[in-house]
Amino acid sequence: MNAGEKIVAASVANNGHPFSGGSDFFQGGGFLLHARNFRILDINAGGLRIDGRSREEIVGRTHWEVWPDTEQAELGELMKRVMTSREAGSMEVRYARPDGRLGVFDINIYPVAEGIVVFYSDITQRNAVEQALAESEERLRLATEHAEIGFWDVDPVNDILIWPPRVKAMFGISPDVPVSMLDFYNGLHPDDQEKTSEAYAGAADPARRAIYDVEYRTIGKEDGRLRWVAAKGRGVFDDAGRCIRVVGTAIDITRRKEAEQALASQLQLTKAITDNATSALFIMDDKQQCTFMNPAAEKLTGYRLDDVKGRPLHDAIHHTHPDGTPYPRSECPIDRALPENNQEQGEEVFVHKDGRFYTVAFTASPLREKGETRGTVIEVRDITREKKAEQELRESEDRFRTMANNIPQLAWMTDATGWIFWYNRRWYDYTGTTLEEMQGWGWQKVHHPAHMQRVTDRFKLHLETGAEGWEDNFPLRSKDGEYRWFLSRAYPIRDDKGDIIRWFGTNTDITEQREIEAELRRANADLEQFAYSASHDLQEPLRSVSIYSELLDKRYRDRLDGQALEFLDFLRSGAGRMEKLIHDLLSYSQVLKIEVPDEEADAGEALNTSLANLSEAIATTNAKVTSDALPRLRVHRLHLNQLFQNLIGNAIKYRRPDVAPLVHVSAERERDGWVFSVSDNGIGIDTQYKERIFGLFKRLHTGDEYSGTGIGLAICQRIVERYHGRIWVESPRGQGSTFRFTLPA
Amino acid sequence: MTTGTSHLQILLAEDNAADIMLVREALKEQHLDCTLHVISDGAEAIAFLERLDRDPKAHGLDLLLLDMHLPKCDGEDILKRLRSTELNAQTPVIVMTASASPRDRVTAEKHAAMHYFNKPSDLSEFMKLGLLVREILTNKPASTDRKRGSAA
Repeated sequence: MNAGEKIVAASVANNGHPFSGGSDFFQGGGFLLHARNFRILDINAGGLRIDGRSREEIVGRTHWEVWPDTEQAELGELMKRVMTSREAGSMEVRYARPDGRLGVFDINIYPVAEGIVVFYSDITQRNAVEQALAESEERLRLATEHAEIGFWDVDPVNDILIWPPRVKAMFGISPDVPVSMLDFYNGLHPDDQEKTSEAYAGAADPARRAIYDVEYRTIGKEDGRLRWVAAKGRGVFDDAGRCIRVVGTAIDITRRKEAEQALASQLQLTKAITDNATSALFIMDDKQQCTFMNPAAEKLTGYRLDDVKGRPLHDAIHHTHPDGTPYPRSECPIDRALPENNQEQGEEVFVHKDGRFYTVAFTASPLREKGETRGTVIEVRDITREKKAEQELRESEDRFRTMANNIPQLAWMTDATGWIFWYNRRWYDYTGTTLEEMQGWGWQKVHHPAHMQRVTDRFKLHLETGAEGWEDNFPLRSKDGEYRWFLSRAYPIRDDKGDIIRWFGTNTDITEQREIEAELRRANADLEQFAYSASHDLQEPLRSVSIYSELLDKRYRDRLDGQALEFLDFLRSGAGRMEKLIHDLLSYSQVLKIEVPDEEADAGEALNTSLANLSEAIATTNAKVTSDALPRLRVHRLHLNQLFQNLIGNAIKYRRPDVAPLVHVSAERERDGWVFSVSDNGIGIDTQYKERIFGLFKRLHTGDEYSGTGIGLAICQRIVERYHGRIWVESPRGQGSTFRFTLPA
Repeated sequence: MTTGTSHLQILLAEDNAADIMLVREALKEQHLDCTLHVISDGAEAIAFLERLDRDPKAHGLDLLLLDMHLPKCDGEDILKRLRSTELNAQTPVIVMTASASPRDRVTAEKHAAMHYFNKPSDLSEFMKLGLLVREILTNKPASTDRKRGSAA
C-alpha cells in the first residue's frame, strides 16, 4: 500500500499493532463490542486472530486491561470520545511492521446501545479486489449479526448498488425492492443532499480518496418518514487508480439523535439542579477519584474539580483527623459505599483547602448503571453551624439547669398537654422523690388530698383555655411528711408560630408569708376587738364623766367658786377630746371591715356629704371649698366621705390666722385609676414631716394651737391602701399644702 | 289592775351605778308613777324573771330597760329568757347601749326589742330616755298579766 507508506508517521505505536503486540497479521477485519465501562463484551474471530490471545483472555475485561498502552494513546482518547459524545469516529493507526515496513490500521468506532463497537482492519495490503470483497463479506456478516449496522457496497463501474434490508429500511424501502444509486440520491433530505453527494464523490475520486464520513437525514421512499443515518466508507481502487468499489457502513441513528436531544435537555436539567443545589455533590469513579463536583462542592472544599483529579478524593479533602492524625482511606465510610455496594450515611470532619476542619453530614450512594456499580455519588452538607448551634443549645441548657437547680424555688416543665417531664433538683430535695415517680401527673402524690382535685381541675382548665400565666396556692408534702404552702406560677413557652410547646413553672414556699399574713389578720381582728371594746368600755365611764360634770355644773354652779368652775371646764373638755379620740380610733379600725363594693360610687356626692358634715366649720371660718367634676369609681362611698372629710377638715383646721381658707378638690385620670388632689392655702407642712403625718397619733401641733386626735390622716392612708393606692402631700414653702391620693377607677 | 301610769312595774337591768342614777333622773323628770326594780347582774335578772313566772300572784312587767352588757349573763341571754316566759313574753324592752357598734342593735332586733337607746354623753340627750319610756307606756296595749282575760 504505497499511498499509506508515504505518510510519515507522526506517532507510531511502539508495538505496531494498535491492540496487541502486533506479532500476527490478520486477513479479515477485527471487531470489538465494548460496554460503556470499556469492558469487552464480544470479539470476532478476526480480532482474535490479530491479537493471538484466546477469547477468554479478552472478553469480560476492559479494553485497558487487555491493551494497557492504548488508554492514554490517541486510540483510547477516540474511544472515550465516541463513548461519551455518541458520535462515530474513525482514525488510522500507523505501526511498524515486523518486516520494518509501515503498517496502517483503519479503525472505525460507532456508538451502539451497549457502548461502542470498534472495527479495525489492516489496510496496508488492501490492494486487491478479492481482499476488499473478502472484507465486504465479513462486514456484511457482522452487519447482519449486529442488526443496527448496515453494510453498503457500490460498484461504480457497473453502477451496482448493494443494500442489505437494514440499509433499505433506512431509506424507507422494503427488503425485496431492488435499488439503484438513484434511490440513494433521491432518498436524501433536500438539506443534506449536496453535502452528502459531495462527500460520496470525494471518496470515489481517485485523486482525493477521501474518507466518506457523514450524517444525513433521509425521507422514506415508501413511508415518507424522516430518519437519521450515519454512514462511513471509503473507495477501493485498483492498481490503475480506478475506483472499483465504494464500501461502507450505515447506521440508523434516529433513536440516538432523539436520545441525544433528550439527553441534552436532561443534562441541562441535571446541570441546573446540581449547579443550584445547596448540598455539595461529588461523583467518584471506581478508583475513588472525583469526576464531578457541583459549585456547592467547590465552595465547600475550596477546590475545583481539576485540583482533585488524578488522586482519590479522600486524599484531597478527608486525609486528616481533627486531632492531626492521618485518616486512612481504608477506614473512610464514604469510600466503603462502592466496594460494599451499600449506601453510607453519617457525619465526618473534612479538611478545607485552607487547612481548617469542618463537620459535614454525608450520604454516599453507589452509582449503578445497568446493574454494574460504576462509582459513588456523595451528597454533603456543611453542618458546622448546626454543630455549633447544638453545642450552644447544650451549653444554654446546662446554664438553665444550673440556674434552675439553684433558685430557691421548686421548678418544673411540662409539655403542651401539662405532662411534666422535668423538675429541678430542689423539687427532689424537698419532696424526696424521683423523676420516675413524679413525671407526668405523678406530682399529685405529694399534694394534700384535700387540695389535689381542686389544683388538678384548675390546672387542666387553664391548659384547655390556653391562657397566659397560671397561678395557684397549695400545700406540698416534704420528705419529712410535713406540708408547706407554695405559691405556684407557670408561664407558657411558645414556638415561632405562637403555639404553646411547654409550660415552665415555679413553686415558691409561702408558708412563712402565710403565717405572717395570718398573724396580721389576727392582729387586725384584735385591733377591731379592741376598738369595739374601746367604743363601749372606754366610752362608758367617759360618758359618766361628761354627764356628771355637766350635772355638777348645772346643779352646783352657784355654789362653786371660780377656780372650781375652771377645773370643771378642764374636766369637761378633757372628756370631750377623749370621746373624739375613741370615735376616730373606731373609724380607723373599721376601714378594713368594709368590703370593696361591686358598684361605683359618685365622688361628687361623697364630697357634698362631707361638706354638709363640715358645714359648721366652713361657716365659722368663712372657708371656700370648690371642686372640679369628680368621677364615679369603685370605692365605698363611706370611704370617699371619710377621705374628703378628713382632708378638707384638716385644710380648714390648719388655716393661716386671719386668712379665710380656700380649698380646691380635683381628680385627674392616670393609667389605671384616678389621682385626687385637695389643695389649700393653709400653713403648709414642713418637708421633714411629710411622711410622719400619716402615722397613728402623730401630731405636729399642741391641742392649744390646733385640736386633733392624730388619727385623721392615718385613717386616710388606711383607706387608700385598702384600695392599693397611695397618699402623699406636697407643700411648697408658703403655698399651703396639696394632699394627693390615688384610687382605682 | 289599774291602767294609766300608776303602779307601773319597770325592771332596769343595769350595772353602772352612774347610769342607774341617770335613768332614775330621767323617769323622775317625766313624773312617772312606777316601781323601778334594779338588777345589776345578768344572772340575777334571769332569776328575777323566772321568779315572777313562778309566782301565781305576780303581775307582768310593764317595761324592761336593758343594758346589753351585764356581768355573768349578757343582754341577749336575758332577752331570750324574757321572750320564753309566760308572763313577760310580750313585755316592751328598751335596749340601752353605749357602744357605737351596730352589733347590739342587730342582737336586740332579733329578739323583738323594738326600742333602742344609745346612751349619749350629753345630759339633756340622756334625759330624753324619760320621754321614750312615757311614750311606750302610754301607747302600750292593755296591761299584760295572767288575769287580763278575766279582768277585761
